[in-house]
Amino acid sequence: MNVLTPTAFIYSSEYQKYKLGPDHPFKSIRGELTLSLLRELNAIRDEDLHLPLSITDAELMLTHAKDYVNMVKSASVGEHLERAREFGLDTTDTPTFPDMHEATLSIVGGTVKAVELVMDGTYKRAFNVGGGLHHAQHRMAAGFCVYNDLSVAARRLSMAGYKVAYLDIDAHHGDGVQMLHYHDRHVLTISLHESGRYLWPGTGSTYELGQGDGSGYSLNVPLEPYTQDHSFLEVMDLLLPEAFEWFQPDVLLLQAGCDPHQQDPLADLCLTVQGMSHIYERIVRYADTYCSGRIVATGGGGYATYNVAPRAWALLYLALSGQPVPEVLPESWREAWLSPNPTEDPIPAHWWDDAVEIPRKQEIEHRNRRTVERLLRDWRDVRK
Amino acid sequence: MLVRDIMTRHPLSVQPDTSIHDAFLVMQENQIRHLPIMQDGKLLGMVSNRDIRWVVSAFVTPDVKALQEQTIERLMVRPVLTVDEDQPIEEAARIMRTHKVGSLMVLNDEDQVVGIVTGIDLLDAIINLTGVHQPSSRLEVELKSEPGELARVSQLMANLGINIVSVLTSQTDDQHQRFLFRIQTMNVRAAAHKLREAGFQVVYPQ
Repeated sequence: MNVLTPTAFIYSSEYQKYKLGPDHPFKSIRGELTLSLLRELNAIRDEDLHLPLSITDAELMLTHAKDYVNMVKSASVGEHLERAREFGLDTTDTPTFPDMHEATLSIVGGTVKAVELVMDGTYKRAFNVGGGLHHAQHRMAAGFCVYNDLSVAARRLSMAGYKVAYLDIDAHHGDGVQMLHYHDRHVLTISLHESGRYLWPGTGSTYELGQGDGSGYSLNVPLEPYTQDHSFLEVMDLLLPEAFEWFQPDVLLLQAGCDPHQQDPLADLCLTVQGMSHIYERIVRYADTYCSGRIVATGGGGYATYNVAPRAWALLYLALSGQPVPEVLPESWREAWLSPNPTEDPIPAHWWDDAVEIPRKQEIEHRNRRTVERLLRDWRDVRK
Repeated sequence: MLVRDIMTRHPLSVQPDTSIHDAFLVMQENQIRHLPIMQDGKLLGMVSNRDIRWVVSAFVTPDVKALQEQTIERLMVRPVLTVDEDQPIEEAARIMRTHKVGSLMVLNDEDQVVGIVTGIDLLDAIINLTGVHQPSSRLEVELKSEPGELARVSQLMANLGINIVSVLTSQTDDQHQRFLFRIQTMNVRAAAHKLREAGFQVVYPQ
């Protein structure tokens, strides 16, 4: 093992209790799959595995409304709730389930643990594979997310005096985190996502630039459907250096949803795993240049549970810890797991994917470039 | 949606003897573009941001400049276009478009002024009607213009447990209508798949 940068991996078997139902696309097994792949690769040391912190109600309620938290607690013990839907609960996307409060709190605690390890200097980088619930709002569950671990973590950082650059590369707009920090100048939120013209949640246009104190502290790049590796990297390179140079962050909080992948059943971006690996490496390089290398990363979306999530997030951990990617995907890992749906979501045979041919490739790249240029123009105007 | 649901209640107004200069300041300081002129609860007239800017502009000719010393009564437009508070909003939109004005005063049953409705209020209403203010996905379906088609789609959504946030329709040809739904699910493809299985023509997502 050749670890350049020791990197904490936060995981608890409690994460498995985040169970939205047998037919639900969100599967908590993703975290387990990722950890077992890292173990088979001999890429993770036991000493770098950490458990979540426990979170007080008071800290949770800096982000969420008291009546909402109480509603989640009641749902956890199976009470029938008349007003659940008002809070986004008991819906197809975010059904209630036993121990919902405790299970989600362990995920929040995982991201906060990652933040703590980086703040106290134990690590420069930490990854909470279960985190990334970016759609949860102040008083509402949404898009499979109950509590917003990212916002709780960002608050703990900013209350300790850190300037937080939040980068969201999930295929869906990071609307919950954006709204929770829309008036906040201590947290710069940047989201690259598939355009909300059709995709959930519909927000994330270039003109959403923050309000009041937070004016200029929210940035959004709505990407064309079928955006591929090259265009995604190009857009990042056009935006991130200028944003980080201007904001001077102390730490990068990364929501690394892996649903921009071409195989993902819920979105239409078209990245390959190798493209995502390049993206992770690029982000690490930017963090080295602009915020002393400090990164707190989480998972997020990713609904090709067996095929994509373990590969993507193992590659993220390898990039964070500065380890090279082993040439072959270990046979021992492939044999250890069985996908319930081998045609749609098979256990992958190799690390890398074959890229798909997109007829409109040039047009898509051109449009994405234009989008980021428009964003930069509007944003330079706002931040004067 | 009725005019009373989207109007601004208790709009700012001035008396007819207010100077043009003071009326201008009221509009500037409150960031409003329409100012009713009222006396003893009765509506006398209306000035718009454009009427008043013309008089207070630095480019005005001496005869217009003399107007600056006058009261707002000299400048106001009358009669004022009005709408009843229980009219549907599309009626307000049609009056405003026909007469090319940016606002209407809103009256109750006793002909008292109860509010003002502006183009901005109507835009807010459109945003509300489309449902984009709520987290949702977009689903576009082409249906035959026949009784029961929409009911079949909504029954399917109900079976899937998916809430419909909004529905907008437009005519595509004599026999068909395009329905644009915003539905409360991240997994819009699963819903589209079910619709296709049931024989509907889903335009988006493909």
